[in-house]
Amino acid sequence: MQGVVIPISMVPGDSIIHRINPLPKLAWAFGVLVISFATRNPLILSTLFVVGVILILVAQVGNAYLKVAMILFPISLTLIVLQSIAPAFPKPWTPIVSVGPFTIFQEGIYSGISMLLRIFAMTTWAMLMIMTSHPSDIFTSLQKIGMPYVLNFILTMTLQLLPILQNEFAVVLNAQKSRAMKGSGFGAILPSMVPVFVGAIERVQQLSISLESRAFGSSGHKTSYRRVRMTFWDILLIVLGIVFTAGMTYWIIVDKSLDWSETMVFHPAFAIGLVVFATLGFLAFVVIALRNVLQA
Amino acid sequence: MSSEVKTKAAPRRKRLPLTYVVAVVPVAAALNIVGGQINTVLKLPTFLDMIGTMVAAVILGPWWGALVGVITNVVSSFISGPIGLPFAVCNVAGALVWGYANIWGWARKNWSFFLVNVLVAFVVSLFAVPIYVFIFGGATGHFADVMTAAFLGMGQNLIVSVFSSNILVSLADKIISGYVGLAIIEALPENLTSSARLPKSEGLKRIIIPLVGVLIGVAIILLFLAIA
Repeated sequence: MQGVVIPISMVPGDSIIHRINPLPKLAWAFGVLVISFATRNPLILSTLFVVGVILILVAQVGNAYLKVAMILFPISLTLIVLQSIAPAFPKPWTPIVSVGPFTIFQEGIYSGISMLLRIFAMTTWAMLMIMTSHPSDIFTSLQKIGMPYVLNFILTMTLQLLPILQNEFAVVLNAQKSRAMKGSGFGAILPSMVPVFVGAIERVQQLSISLESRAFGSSGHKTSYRRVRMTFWDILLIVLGIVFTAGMTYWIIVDKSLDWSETMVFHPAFAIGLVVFATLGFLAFVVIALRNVLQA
Repeated sequence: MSSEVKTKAAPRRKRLPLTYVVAVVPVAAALNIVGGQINTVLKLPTFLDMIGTMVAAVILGPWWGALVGVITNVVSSFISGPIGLPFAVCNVAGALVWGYANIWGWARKNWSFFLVNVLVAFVVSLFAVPIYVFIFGGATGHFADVMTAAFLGMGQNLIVSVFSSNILVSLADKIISGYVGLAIIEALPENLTSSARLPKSEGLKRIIIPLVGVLIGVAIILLFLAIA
């Protein structure tokens, strides 16, 4: 637990993207999500991904984004390996080459690449929104468009509790270590959850009394410590986001030529290279995973 | 495992004040998130992100537990990106099974509590597998991927392979989560746990043998089915 830091992904800054109201960013992130699920076309997905990366660079949150993207790295490798040998496509599949008991399929490479681009496109736009907006601003903005006050309070409270619980875990684990008990693995983590949770609940009793004394849940206009302004440009961005999403989705549904699954042919050398690279990474991941399982 | 029960008669569910409930839900969600983060950092072969869900589902009720599940995945997306967001469905399903099993008195004895955790694992896997297959192409970025590849190599299709590997991880995770949750509930103040109809916690060491037994049993069945 030592060194485990739970970062809230917001990166402070003063870029043009930081200054945009959270709602337009949310609308665009949601729009990209809808479009990404509507299509498998690699060109559309990679364009969304590249534009997202450019905006990440404009917002100057590239380093923080890379850390989050690294979380996707093992998933990316296994996705390519699994899809190339078992495509998420209806049969029959077109074989490219056989390696031992496994056969690499044309549809598998296509499916693997499009799924990977879809995940990266969605994640990039979502991280752009998350990294350039303070969580409280997002919740305050959502409250303005009708999100219940109680739900807003719960979400904000959860974010505030994270560093506190994390700190308490570290204290409990250090106490266990100082008494020559296990400091890592299941043997240390699981028993430490009981005192941390029970301690937090005791704190909650005080919080409940404070909320009660401040008439929490009463009707009437609720004010917020954080003020989020909505400008003309923010409204314009929301409208553009909705129009772009609707237009793209309509185009994807109407234009059947955007489905490249049967026309896009991969060279065997490319397919083998991609799968070998992903397999080697996958095997490295397997070794690390097995070592950790044995240590746990 | 003894079958001593904490509450024998069905108790009347005491209505907790809204302020109390509103304060407990974030604690449970935060415990889920921190548990999941620790699991990721230490690369343990489980998830550990449903312990708070289990506690909330039992002490507050199934639907408050479901809310904890949703909040866990929503708030997690502010930390590690939105890839975990679809799995809110799994957290909700787990909360409903644990919560209603408690209300209907299915988990009063030690053996039945164990079986409820096994049921949670199966239900959660049923919801998780389509998400893994249709959104992540079967990849989890988890230890289970090794087993998925092994089952694919034995000729199983992707959905069955992902389910086969996921259920093993899920069984270990939900049984551990259930028993850690049980220990937490027992340590909570009486006024909070009046609606809990669960057996006495006997320590995590007592469930290691049944847990390993179930995992080996299920693994043998899955291997037999894959080979057959």
